[in-house]
Amino acid sequence: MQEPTPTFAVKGVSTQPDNITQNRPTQLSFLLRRMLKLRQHPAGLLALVFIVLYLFLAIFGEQIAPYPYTQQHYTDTLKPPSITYWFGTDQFGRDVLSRVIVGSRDVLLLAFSAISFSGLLGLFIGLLAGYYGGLLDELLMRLMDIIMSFPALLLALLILSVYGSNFFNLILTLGIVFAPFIARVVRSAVLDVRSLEYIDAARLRGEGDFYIMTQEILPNIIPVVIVEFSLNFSYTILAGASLGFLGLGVQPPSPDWGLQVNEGSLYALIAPWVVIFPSIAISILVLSINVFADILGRILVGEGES
Amino acid sequence: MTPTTSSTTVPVLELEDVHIAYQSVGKWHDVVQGVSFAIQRGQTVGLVGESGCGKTSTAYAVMNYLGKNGKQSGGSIRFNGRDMQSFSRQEIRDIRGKKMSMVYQNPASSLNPALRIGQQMIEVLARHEHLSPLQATERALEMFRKVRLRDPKAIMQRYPYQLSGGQQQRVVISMALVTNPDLLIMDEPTTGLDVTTESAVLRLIAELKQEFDTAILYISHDLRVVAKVCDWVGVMYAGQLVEWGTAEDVFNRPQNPYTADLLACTPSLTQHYQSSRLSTIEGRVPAPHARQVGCIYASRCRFAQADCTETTPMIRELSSMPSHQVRCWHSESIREQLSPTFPIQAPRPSDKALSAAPSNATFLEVKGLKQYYRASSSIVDRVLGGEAHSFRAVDDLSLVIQQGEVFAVVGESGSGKTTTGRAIVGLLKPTDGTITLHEKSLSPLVQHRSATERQAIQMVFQNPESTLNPNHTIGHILHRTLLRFGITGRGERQEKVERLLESVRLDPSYAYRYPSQLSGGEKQRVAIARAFAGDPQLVVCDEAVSALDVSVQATILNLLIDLKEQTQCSYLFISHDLSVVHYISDHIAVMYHGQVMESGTVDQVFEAPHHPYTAMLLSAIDSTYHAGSSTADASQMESQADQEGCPFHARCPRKIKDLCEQVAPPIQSPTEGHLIRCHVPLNEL
Repeated sequence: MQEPTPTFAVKGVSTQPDNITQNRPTQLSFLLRRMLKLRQHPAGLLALVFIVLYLFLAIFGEQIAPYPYTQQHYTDTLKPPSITYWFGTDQFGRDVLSRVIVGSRDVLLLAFSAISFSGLLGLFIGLLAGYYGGLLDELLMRLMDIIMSFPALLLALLILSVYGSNFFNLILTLGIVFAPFIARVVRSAVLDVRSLEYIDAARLRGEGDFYIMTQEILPNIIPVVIVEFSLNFSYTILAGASLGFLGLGVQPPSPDWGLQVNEGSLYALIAPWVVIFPSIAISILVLSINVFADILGRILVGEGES
Repeated sequence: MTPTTSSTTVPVLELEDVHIAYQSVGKWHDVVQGVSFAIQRGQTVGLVGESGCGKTSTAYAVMNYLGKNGKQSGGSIRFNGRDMQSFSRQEIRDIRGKKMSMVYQNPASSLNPALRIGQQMIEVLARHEHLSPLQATERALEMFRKVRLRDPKAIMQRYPYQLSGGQQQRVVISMALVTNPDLLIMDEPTTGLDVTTESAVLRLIAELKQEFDTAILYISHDLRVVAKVCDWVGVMYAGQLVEWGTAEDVFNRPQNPYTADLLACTPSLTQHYQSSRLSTIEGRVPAPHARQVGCIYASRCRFAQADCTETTPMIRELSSMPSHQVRCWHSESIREQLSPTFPIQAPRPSDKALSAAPSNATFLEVKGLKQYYRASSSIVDRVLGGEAHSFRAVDDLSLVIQQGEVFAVVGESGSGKTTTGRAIVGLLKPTDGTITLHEKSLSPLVQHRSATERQAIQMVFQNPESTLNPNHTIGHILHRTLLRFGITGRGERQEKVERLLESVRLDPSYAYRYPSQLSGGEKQRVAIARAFAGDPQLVVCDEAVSALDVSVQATILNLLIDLKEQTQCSYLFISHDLSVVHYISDHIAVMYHGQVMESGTVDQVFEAPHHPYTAMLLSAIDSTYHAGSSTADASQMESQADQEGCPFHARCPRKIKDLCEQVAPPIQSPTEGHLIRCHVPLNEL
């Protein structure tokens, strides 16, 4: 994948400043330019293709699916994969393929909402703790330690069984459970940037804390946040699926994959396809996101300059 | 001249027309173009030049360390007569560390922080000499004694972080030498060290040269250092060797304009800003892919003629100076003008110097500044009631800065210079002490100061790489600064931004650039423009030129002086580099362990009587070399306790027993305005 890149030559940045003045790059274009390095990582590209495919299915699932995901074919219960039902049918005669396809919507929507909440929460806490330090830092980070000391799933189960399981509570719960991981990474990134001289310079011209946090520090930790966000995204999917499997996640008749595995587990010996296909769907999605996040990390944070 | 050059023995290392290329986005660029030289057994060869000229790449090629995106694209490197390319991977592994070893710039990163020094040393010996642990320990102790480490047994038991920088570098050097290698490569081995430590390490290298028969390749940007230790010197510019000769010839009779210009950039102890400007080299080193036909230095050369840009000069021997090689068409004709006896100085009218002399109006005064740090701050430790170790970064410091003067603070690292500077601008809250501006007391922290007070005191930082936010354009940074200083009109700001950029000799189009598109020197100019945005009265320059190449350093120093004359501001110039300080300052305070040991005007401080510490610093930069001079190495110093006596007593060569340890030294004043804090009577200093 070592092709010459004449139009987007990143290397020109420091060596040929005279041509750069015309096309001034913005923060976003810097990020995008870095993303072009993805071309050197075939595994990352493949993962990206899968992620885009899942997104496509999540959006257009109901149009693509061969049958409505709730339609019950009473004569065809627990049928093995065939031409009619590619992935077989479940105990109610519902088409597994259709349910897997439409299920990507529920899975991604939940995971994305949860990780967004968790990302914002983690970013907020990490910024405050890292920037102010001292007592506030100690308090916030010890609180994060307490949350992290519970196994993630156990804590989620605890909260959900007390407050009841609905979509909103699920997002809140998963958000809280995963926020400490993001907060910790953000805090350490903030600590790195906070001690740099341009922060001192901002202070010397009398900038307030809010300006320094949002304008001076935040843009510089965005790559770290994106990577951490992507990594935790896959954990959120897994946690959501696990909760679904345990019956505390998305409620029936949703085609959530975890829920499908739960419902199909009784028949797993005679009709393994009911369990296998949703599981494969989860595995591929989680794997793709993990590989992508890993390579994103290398592109945005690891190899940074040079 | 060393007799070995003419003998027929095979040189330890021989480079012949070596080319090195690096890959960047799929394309290979020759970074080093045709370097040839040889090192004989027992010789020390220096490679000097600005950063980006290919010195380190050459060393890496010799070590076969170029990595995936680099390769030796031509020529041959022969080690003991055998081409390096013909060695197998296994052979190269065996050679590295045994037959050739390398010492890097940062000793801390060359040592494994998790292993005791002894273990690391024994590992080297077990790998390369196959010694048993007992034998290896013996050898290690012997070696540590050779590099003059005190108490080698104790050193063996320590972890790297328990050693000072100088001690670490000694350990690294001893590890490199313990296998008695044929070739030792040192890449900026003293650059990160204090002057006194540097001089001790250099002395060590000079001594070891006589003890071991090792060929040394010494890489440095610092001409002064290379002149001290090397027999032969190669000057590199943009990947080419432009001059080669004995150290004496190269530094005293340079034949290439680049060498001469580089030498002229370094401030000498005879120069002062009120009488002369530093000479500079215009332009910058061309990037590898932007190199053109003809002499590579032609675009920056003062003597460039038409034919210089037409044909590329080859490195050639001079008929008048055999064994001296130079890459220049016109060496013979311009020789007279290159001689450093005719310093090239920008002429300056002397009457202007008088007008620039500082007035006597005191405008900034620091009284009784104290900054103590507690060693531990974790809440858990506090609850458990750990011992509160307090460290005195600055201890009862007072100083007065007058309008329009350059007040320099010098000292080794850890002397409290930076802390003082940061306390004055208000970036940290001192434990105690007051800072007054125009007899009005200032709030300790900058956020509590008024806008005019903030504007009055600004700062230029050390590291050009982190002084500008990489996400903001230069224009945005300056606009924002002006906005904060109350210039709200956009048009007015735009105009001011352009004027600021022009005042630091940058094109207004730079406003649209991001910091990553600027060189180190340009970034530092922007940082200076930012500091001057609010017409400050005092600019604190914290090691503002330390991270720059000599030629860039000279331009920045000239710029600072120009700006000072235009705006009548004062500088608090913090530096460890005495020659720079001598050049730019009016008043000097020499700091040690948070206290001012000596202060006075430049002449008072640089001429006797000296405080013993000042004397030590001065002898460290003295270019002539006194074996056995009294420079004590910072690495040998004891950790300072909270003692009553003189903070310097542990390292002081003039220590009066008991008295210096127990009684705080008095302040003596040999002449008006010159203060020395020492027990030793003035007439003996």
